[in-house]
Amino acid sequence: MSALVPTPREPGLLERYRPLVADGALDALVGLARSLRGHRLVMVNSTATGGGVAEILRRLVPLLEDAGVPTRWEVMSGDARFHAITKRIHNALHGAPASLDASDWEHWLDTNRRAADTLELDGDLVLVHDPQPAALAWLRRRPGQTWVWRCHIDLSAADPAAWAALAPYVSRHDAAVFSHHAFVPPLPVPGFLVPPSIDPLSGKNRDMDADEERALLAPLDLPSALPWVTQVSRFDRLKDPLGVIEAHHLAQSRTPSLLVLAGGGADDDPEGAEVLAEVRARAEGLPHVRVLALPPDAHTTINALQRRSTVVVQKSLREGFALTVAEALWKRRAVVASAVGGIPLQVLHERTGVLVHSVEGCAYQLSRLLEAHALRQRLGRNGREHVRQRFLLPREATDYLAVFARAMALASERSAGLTLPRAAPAGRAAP
Amino acid sequence: MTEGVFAVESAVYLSRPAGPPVLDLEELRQALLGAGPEVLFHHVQLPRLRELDDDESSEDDFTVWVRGVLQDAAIAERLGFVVQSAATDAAAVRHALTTWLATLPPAVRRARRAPERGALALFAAEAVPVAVGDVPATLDGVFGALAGASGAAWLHHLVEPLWWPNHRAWLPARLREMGAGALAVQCEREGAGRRSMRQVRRRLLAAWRRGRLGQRVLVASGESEEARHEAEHEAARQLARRLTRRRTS
Repeated sequence: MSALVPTPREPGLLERYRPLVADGALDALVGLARSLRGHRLVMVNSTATGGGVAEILRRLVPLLEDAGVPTRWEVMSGDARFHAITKRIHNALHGAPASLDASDWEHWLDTNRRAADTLELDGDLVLVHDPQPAALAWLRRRPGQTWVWRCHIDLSAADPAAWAALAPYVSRHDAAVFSHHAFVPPLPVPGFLVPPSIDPLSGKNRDMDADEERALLAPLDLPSALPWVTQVSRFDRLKDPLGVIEAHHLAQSRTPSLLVLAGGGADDDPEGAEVLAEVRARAEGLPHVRVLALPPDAHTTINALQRRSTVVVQKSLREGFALTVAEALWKRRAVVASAVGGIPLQVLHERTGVLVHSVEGCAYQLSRLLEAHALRQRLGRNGREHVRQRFLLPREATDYLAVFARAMALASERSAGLTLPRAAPAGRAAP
Repeated sequence: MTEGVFAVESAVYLSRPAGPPVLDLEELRQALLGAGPEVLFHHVQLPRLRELDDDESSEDDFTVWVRGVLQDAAIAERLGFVVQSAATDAAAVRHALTTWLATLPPAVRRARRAPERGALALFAAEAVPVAVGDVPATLDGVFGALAGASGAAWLHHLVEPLWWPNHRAWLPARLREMGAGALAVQCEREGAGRRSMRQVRRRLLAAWRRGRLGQRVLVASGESEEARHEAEHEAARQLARRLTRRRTS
């Protein structure tokens, strides 16, 4: 039903980040951890493996531990129906039409009830990730605890009915955290913005020397005579892989290059397989386009691909945050990316990369960057610095601790009668 | 010099959405009329923490938005000047901006409208102070601690107090207590200016080091000739070491 995810302690982990992060950045993390001495933090989500949240928690929990905040990671689980329902909730919150009825929400709530009975939620700081465990604050909250809801989803076009059903439970937290201002819905609790981050020590982002890079890329058998233009993302229409091929084709007559479209395995995603087939069909007969379907754990290969590329593209039509952009900027790559979702927070136009709005714009900027070595270097240098300051894991860890510190201060003000207490979730009796 | 104590802190600046997005200059004027110091701090002062390699001064978010999204270079440069001239505290910035925007004809304020995706999102900054390290008791201790601190620590000690009066962590007040009046004046000037925090840190640390050198020469002038020679040699050695370090870095 529920499980503690073992996250081995990594003594000295914090110090491994010191040469990589901005000056004084770790001091803030350590200082906040010191000010929270005596508190225990519990992370709650619904999966220990697979998906971006689990990937973040696997690195975040040891980092917080090493900073001095005792942290445990609890995973709630449920039956197949629960997962089918939460997948639909997830899609509905992303804006897809929802088909959730009262019995679906009852099942979701029952599963949360069982998790509330079995999970060890005895920490006084609880960070709940995404909608699956969102009712726990209502069901299991104890006096003196501070609960924060972390939403990793783009709620900007959320299905109103789905959000209306979920919002009363989110409101039982002391604060909520979102990745982007456009994702923040109206809520009676304070909403904070905490952008996601990349881990500079992970296989996908760690430094590698030229020999290792060559060895990782050799099996891909990609021609090395031309500069590489690369887009790394799953095969999804919203990533516009056909648009990238079109833009590359337009740029080819002026500036020859090799286009590499690399994505994770699509075996368990029928639509992904369909899009991959479309992309392969479109690339058929184009000598300067390579389509790579990589296994899900090909992190170091992706790292090498990004490092070897002259330009990295992210021509998405819609995005959550697109951390592939931060990954490329961290590797000092020149980036051409669409001005959607969280990308403009990472790509500051003409300073850390270039933003585009069309196939033609993408083609124009590809040619421009492929021809301009000094410009690529300047953008790459600035991009690395921008990510160093704003999108590395220790900053995200620091922000979470700061949110808890702030939420506790606000709770103290509330208990002193400075603000009004919040109402119980609509339509349900308080537990 | 009187010895005092000063807790060197840093701050984590959290962002919270603050009202509906702004699409033109009239909406900007109306939003600014009701904007609290947290909002103005976010858009006028937090940009001073952006430290890209080619970034020596920092522009406020309003100016960047008018130039980049509304694409009105003439309005942007005048707006930038208004902020630059008034950026000493929140009330002054709000008054200067809203007054200047009101001088523009209504038709001009509505003339250029941002596309929906280019709307200016307003945020409030919530500062969470963070104690970092020990509490140094001397001027050298204070600057020694600040030398390794982040830009946020400098913003916390030099700029936040201008926005929130009676701020307990105002560095110039502590410097005056320690008898370093000239350094205090320079800190006030830098805090009220528009330089990025990286530049501010560089300039103030240089001023502090120059002061230390002068202090040592002053002390040595009352010493024996032998002691003066030794002090001069020590100062020269330190200068040489600094220059060597700078060259190698």
